[in-house]
Amino acid sequence: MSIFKKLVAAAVGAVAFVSPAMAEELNLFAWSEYVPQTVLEGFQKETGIKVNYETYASNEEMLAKLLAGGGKYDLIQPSEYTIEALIADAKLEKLDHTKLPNLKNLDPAFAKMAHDPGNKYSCPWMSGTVGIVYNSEAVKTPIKGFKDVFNGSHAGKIVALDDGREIVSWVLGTQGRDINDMSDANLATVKPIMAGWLKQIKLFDSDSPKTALLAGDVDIGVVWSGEGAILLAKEPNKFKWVLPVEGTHRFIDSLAIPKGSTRVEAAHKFMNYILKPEVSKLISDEFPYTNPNVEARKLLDEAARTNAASYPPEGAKLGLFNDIGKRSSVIDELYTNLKSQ
Amino acid sequence: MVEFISVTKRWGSFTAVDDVSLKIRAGEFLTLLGPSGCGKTTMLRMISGFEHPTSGRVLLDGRDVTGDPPYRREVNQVFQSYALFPHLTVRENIEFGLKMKKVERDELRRRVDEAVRIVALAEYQRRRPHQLSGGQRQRVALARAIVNRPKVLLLDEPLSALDASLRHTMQIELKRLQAKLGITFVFVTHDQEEALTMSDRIAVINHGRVEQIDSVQDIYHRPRTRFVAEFIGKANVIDAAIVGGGVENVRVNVEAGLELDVCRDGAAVRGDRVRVAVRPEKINVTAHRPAGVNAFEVTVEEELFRGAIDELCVRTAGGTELTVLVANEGRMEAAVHRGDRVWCQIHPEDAVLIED
Amino acid sequence: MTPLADTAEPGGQRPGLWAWALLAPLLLWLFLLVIVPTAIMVAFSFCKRDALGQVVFEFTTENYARIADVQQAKGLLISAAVGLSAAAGVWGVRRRVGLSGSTWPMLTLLGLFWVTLNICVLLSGGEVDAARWLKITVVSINYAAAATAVCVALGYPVAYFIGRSPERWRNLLLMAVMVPFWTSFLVRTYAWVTILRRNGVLESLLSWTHLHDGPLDLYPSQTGVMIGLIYTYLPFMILPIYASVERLDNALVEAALDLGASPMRAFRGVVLPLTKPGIIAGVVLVFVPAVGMFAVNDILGGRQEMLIGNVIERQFTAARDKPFGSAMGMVLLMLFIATYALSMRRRSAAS
Repeated sequence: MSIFKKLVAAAVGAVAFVSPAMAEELNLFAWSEYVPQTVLEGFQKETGIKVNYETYASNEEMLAKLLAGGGKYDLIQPSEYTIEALIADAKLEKLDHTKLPNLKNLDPAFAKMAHDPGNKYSCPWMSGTVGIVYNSEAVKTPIKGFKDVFNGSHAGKIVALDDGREIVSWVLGTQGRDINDMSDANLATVKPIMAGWLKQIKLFDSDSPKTALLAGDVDIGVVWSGEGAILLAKEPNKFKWVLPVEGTHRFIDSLAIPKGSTRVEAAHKFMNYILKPEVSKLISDEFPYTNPNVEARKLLDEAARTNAASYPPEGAKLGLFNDIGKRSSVIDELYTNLKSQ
Repeated sequence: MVEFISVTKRWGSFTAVDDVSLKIRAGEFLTLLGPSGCGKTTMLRMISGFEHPTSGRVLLDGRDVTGDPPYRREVNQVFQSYALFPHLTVRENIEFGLKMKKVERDELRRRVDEAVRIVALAEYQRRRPHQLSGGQRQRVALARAIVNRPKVLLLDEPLSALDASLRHTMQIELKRLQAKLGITFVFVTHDQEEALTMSDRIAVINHGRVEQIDSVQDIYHRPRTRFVAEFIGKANVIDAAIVGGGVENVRVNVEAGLELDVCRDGAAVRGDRVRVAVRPEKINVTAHRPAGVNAFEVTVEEELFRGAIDELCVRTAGGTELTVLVANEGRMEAAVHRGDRVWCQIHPEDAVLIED
Repeated sequence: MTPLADTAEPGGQRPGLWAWALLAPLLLWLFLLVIVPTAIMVAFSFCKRDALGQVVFEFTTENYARIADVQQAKGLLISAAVGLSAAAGVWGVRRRVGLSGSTWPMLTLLGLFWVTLNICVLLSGGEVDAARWLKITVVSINYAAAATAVCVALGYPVAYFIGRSPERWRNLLLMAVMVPFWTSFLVRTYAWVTILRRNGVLESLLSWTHLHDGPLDLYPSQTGVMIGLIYTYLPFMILPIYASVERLDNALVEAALDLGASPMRAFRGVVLPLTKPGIIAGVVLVFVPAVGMFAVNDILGGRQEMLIGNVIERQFTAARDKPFGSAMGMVLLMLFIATYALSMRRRSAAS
């Protein structure tokens, strides 16, 4: 008898659990450690739309799943060079700016980027850099750039992004070459140097490299600026942030609607929602990258606004990535081979 | 050849073998006979070394082997399930023991050939056990044991898996083999007929104790205890009281008006209440009063026709019931039937005093 | 012929409608989850890809050509030739000596082949591009083989102990072996990070008991990956070995002891050969998935080294080269099929 009751209760529960799914939903495919839960909840409260958040750790991984997913996703969060590629292949919905009045809150500079001038297809989420964060208690020699990190004295104590293109661009930077030039000549130069660097890296992690630094597994990280900013905020005396003197990658991650989405309307609503200054501030609070939303920046406290990792000084040597097309597979093979040496 | 000195084996509170002392002679065919769970297999396993006594000692050919593991004892066993190695051929099975003893190659070949010949398996040497019949497996198990020329060959109910006719053939084969090899055989069975057919001597085991160890004839004709009398063959066990005695015989009273002379045969007699065992076929039945002692008149209550013999249930005037086996050797009209009144006579030699 | 063969003759028992109905779920499962995916993989492996990484259905063999580039083919051919001739030589010698058991020549052959292959890879180590895929495959198989060997060494005694313990204990002990399956594999693997990392559970425990002080550097490391692989696959070794030990008639062990075999000899001569099917099943269950495993390497190895599983996985994710990934998957599949066919031939020849 009691078993029967339990079964009935379970069935009722299952129905109750399923029924909200009938309400409007939005499938967001975004970077891991990038979207605060509070924002998703606030959006649902305001609009009744439930957001399903699925994560990835690299643009390439996102592309692979997006292209295989067949219209499953309503919103994606690619970086500048991937936006460029997706626009070129007509994989993105054009944005309806009448539905995005909050775009006015953005720094006008973000509407002038080469990968999507005028933000026709993408709505900037956060910008950031790749930089060096180190534990000043363990590292006593001065760190100014990539060459200081990979000079051999820190071998086995480094965490780096698990991203072949990033590492290639760092090497190109130290050689004074264009970080977007993946010619054979450039790669031939990169190869031996990169081989030496990879051997010194203990841990490759794009998701949450701060964890290994906090746990003491490693002393130096070449990581996303947001990860660095969190470390600086947590232990300002211990961790130091450095923008490599050789120059580094500046990335812009934006929301975009992939072709095939059936919830374009809701996707616009979400974009407009996160452009609200108070909402955008919530994102910065949790993931302190460079916020393109100038109105939101005004709401941040002093410490956050002056966090060296979040807001790089004017005139820093930064470069955006371009789409490199099929060369990406050459980079990937190079990366794979060097890792398995 | 094998000697048990006050051997006891206990598992927790259960006593499997209870203070057994026993001598097995060199070259004899000794059977440990008893019902299942009586401890006979445990005794065998203490000889082979798979079990060790809780107390007491086991001697093998005069040497104390009480603590020795199986592989240091010069005995071999034929297992109830044969326990042939399924991954080896017949020949490899037989070679196994010699290889373990690192017997030199020519010698090994000679001895295996001989063993194979003895059990007549020459043409099956390359087969594997699962390709053989039950009887053939039995012979492989035998050959695998005897090729080692053990001092004692232990056989744990080796014939129980065979059908009746094959079992009969194998009984004879085993007996012949034992006579030929002259190895001491210790045979465990619960089948009294098998024990009688094959053994020189039988040790009847009950509740972990040896009830009686004697030659086959004595076990049958001179059982010491009620258990032996009833476990082996059939027996009439009659309650009686001693009323007089002689040198060879004692006189017992069975019931009012019926007294018998009974063979004394060294049995300990305590008090005057005794039990007398008489084999059913030892009671002679005649139509008229025979001459001599121990004759009395009975009524036939039941008659079971058994072909060569008749089994009769008879009752004495005082109500004692006896079972009698009568050979159907006379003419048909001479046969005895229900309700007939006939005479029975027991030779004093055939009536044995037994203990309970 | 055996009675089994008779039933297969025409006019004998053919599977009826009912039998087919009962088989249907299995056949459907096989079709949907084995045949269809394999067919897709075969098709993809002969296709091209576009800049974004979408499969373009245009016939090409370039994916296979990429795997078997000229340099590598040279190395492979040389090592194969050396390995095979050495193995054949040893086989011949053993035959003459009269030790032509069915198992050892094959194992020796494979072993020697493997050693020479490893030497070739080692020699080409300095060169980045020489024998790159082959090298990754060899390293992956080395990892899997080492993990399998340790699993046999650790798993056999455990399985033997469980199989020989009193019946009332057995289920409890088996349960203990299977308890880890109640938790997700990924969660368990991440738990190992907590155990192995600097100042983690293991280091704290060791310094607390004064057995060892200071960092062990187990996370991330190749040792960590090995520990993870062994931990993950040990139950898959224990269970089939247990099944064969449990089936082993104790009388056979007693018979061996009775025939003068010491416990060690009895183990080698009787227990080991009779539990071999369990070991082989365990080796297959551990080795094959261990070769393709990528998650353990990612989590505990810090993504330092790429194993063949990682490479293939990458083709379907980050590298967005499904055709190439499919081709590599096909090659690996062919390797397994060839090994399996070889072992089947050996077994049928032995019986």
